[in-house]
Amino acid sequence: MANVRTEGTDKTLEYWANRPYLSDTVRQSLAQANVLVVPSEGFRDQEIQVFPVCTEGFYEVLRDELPPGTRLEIAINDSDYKELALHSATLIIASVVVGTTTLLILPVVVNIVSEYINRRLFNEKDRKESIVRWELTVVDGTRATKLTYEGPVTDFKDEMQRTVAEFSATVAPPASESPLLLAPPLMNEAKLNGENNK
Amino acid sequence: MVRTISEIREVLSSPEILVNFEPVISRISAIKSKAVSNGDEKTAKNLWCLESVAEIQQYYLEAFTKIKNGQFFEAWCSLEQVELALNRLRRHFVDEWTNLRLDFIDQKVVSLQSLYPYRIFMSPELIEHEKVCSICERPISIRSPCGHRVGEIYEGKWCGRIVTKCDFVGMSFVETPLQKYSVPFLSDPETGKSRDHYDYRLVNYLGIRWPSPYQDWEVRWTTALHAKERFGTLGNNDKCPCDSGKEYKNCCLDRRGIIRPHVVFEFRFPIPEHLQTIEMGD
Repeated sequence: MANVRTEGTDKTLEYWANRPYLSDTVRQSLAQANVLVVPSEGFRDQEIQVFPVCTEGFYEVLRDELPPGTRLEIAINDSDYKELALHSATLIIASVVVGTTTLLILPVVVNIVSEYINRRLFNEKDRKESIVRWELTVVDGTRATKLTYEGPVTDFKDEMQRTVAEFSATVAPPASESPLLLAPPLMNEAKLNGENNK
Repeated sequence: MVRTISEIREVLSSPEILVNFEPVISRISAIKSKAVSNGDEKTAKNLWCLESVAEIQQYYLEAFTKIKNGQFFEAWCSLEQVELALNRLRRHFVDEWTNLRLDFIDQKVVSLQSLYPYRIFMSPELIEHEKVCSICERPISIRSPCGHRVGEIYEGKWCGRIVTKCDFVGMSFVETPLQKYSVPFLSDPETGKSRDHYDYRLVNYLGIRWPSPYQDWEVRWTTALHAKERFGTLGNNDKCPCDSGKEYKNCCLDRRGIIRPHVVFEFRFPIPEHLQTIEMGD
């Protein structure tokens, strides 16, 4: 894909659940999560964790629109939550980490992010001209793969959907996969579309 | 004197150009306050939309007047206000976009901005530590949201976030800024004050010909071949006048002429004879 970079990463769900800046309560909650919103660490070599501006709204959208049974969390203590505003027109969306036990959720996550981008850029001209950056990490046991999209908003949905479809085909879901989380993506897409038509 | 919502709509869509917005805006505000105190969210939202339309028309008129007066940077800032207000309004108000001239204004803002010479902008980098909701003033908490969503309308007000504590961490130069007003200016070495060093010939060219803010014109960006003689004597090692950044000998020396950006204005109104000549040079 022209705008998607795929690379290995050591930032698994376990990595995030063990970050030293998290409280025990948050750490325990993270250990149960299968979809995580994660910060950018070490901005400008500072020991600081920041989320892109508007992550607060993005997190609410994920909480509302992910299928029932998804355990969403954010890898930060409430009191340490900070947003970084770069004030450039590049739309940066908070990075998301998904466990392969929720592999079938990947197209749904991409759909949610795509619809969220369209809502943020309601003006058609902005949608045509804007650049978006988003990282999606998929964790398969101790191995994690980071898919980074950086490119035009107009190509985001197609390229990311094709990337996650190709990626999912290479990873076999574990036998213990929860049936709840295997809800057919199309059903969830229909729910999403229904909500957007309101 | 406007009294009802339909009268406000009529005034804002009238072919006559509204110059004094104050009576309309204060009337909208009064009716909106009443709707809010009655818990009528739908009417309050409609009135917020009309208030935004009045604000957009007012800023647009200001931009037009400033361009006519040669206050180009100030006009640029008014155009940005129009753009921001249009973006806030867009998702809430689609039916009367043309009737209230918003389509026209939307197109003109983009065209006017394209005539400006600004290409690089300052972009501040902020770490936002604390924010509050503009509606309920509750601090924003990631796990316990207040329930008010940015961009929605509550109590006849647009919902945003107010940053109450932040760190300024840097400044970048960018081509696509979020805040278009952050235009860098050079400073005068003698006085230390900023001076406007930009070339506004294109926007000025339009400004002196454009008689009224709702009279239509179009601008098209293209390229044109210019005779080499126009650029004086060109040495082989000179910078090529086509602005490629290359030396003349490695660029347009062997070409028939110099290809440069070219702007075509189409005025949909009569131009006085003395303004029909082109005095801009290149």
